[in-house]
Amino acid sequence: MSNDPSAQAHQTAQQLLYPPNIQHNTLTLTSIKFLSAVFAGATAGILGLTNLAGFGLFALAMLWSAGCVYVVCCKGKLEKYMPGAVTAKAINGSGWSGVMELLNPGSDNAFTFVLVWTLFYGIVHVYD
Amino acid sequence: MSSSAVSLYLDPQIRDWVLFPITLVMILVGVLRHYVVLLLQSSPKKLPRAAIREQRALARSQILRATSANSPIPPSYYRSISNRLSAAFEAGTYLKDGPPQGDGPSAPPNPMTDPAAMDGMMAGMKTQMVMMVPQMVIMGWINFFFQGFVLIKLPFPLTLGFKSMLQRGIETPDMDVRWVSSLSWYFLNFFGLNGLYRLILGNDNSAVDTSQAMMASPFAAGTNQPGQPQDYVKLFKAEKDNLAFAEGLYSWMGDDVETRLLRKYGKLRSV
Repeated sequence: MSNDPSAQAHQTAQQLLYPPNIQHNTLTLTSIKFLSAVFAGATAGILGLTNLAGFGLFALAMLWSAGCVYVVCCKGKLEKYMPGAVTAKAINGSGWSGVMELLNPGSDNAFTFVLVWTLFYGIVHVYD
Repeated sequence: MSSSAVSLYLDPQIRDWVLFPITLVMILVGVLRHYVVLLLQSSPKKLPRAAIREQRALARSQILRATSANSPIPPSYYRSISNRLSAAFEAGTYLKDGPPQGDGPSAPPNPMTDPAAMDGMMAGMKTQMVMMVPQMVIMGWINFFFQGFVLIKLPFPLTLGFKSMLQRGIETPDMDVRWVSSLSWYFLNFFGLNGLYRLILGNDNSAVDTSQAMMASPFAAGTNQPGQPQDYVKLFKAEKDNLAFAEGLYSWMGDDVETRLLRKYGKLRSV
């Protein structure tokens, strides 16, 4: 049964996770992403960025905040703080799933970015 | 082809009297929705002790089984708990109405007549109504008062297909799709304010727009109702088989812990 060792490793890794901590971490991460989306939207709107430049700023802001979280909060050790990294590491020893979890803004924050971007673009550049 | 070099001039009063009020109203209505749902929620119905014991027995067995392949409890404890639960499930001692009389298969309670399940369904429907009604009202309000003028310019381009939806009421065939009416501002707010609600109302607030999640998993939502009547006799039988299966898989985490420890500190040469 070739699936067995990886399934067992997965289960062992799952057992090591502590749900209240996971919840707290996820909540903190969501708040950080939301605030970066809002400020990125405001910046893009005020600067008058349009089309791809605006979305590029959003991607840049997400990268920057993920980088800051990685350095300041996770102190470089993703396996200690991100549940995706814990299970991925157990299965195939790579930490990429944890990185995607840090970077992924979620549809909520993407819409928030668009809303704030449109708002500030309208206030600064469209109205006299 | 529309001349995109010339931009429209919009009256600043539109900004003051339409843009900000729509956003403000939507935020406040979202907060209102959250508190209305909170007030409408009836306190969860208290189950009698026998019913709770039934559910908890099942939960205990599931917890035991979940970590059986890498179990944190030593064999003697695991085996004794597992045997006791198996015997209890077989004899039906945990059943709400006592052990089965042995007179034919018992019928699961009808969801229409079981009062606990009705309460669950009513609560779900009440939440749905509270979500839908304010959205309809606000959309009607916007369509009535803020119709027929251009509100804002979108910073990103959209295809021509969106023109009919976003420029409703403005009959200009070749104006850029980026100039939109108030209804599209409503839609932008509708999707974009979820994050704000999460920030000011705490995580599991009722103002968040979960319609997308619900559309994606209507079946999952249907099976997770807490008041759903279940036939515990069958469940106990299935659980007993599962326990036997899990016992086959069982292995203690601390089985060869002495060897592992010695190997870790290098006192034992790994073969």
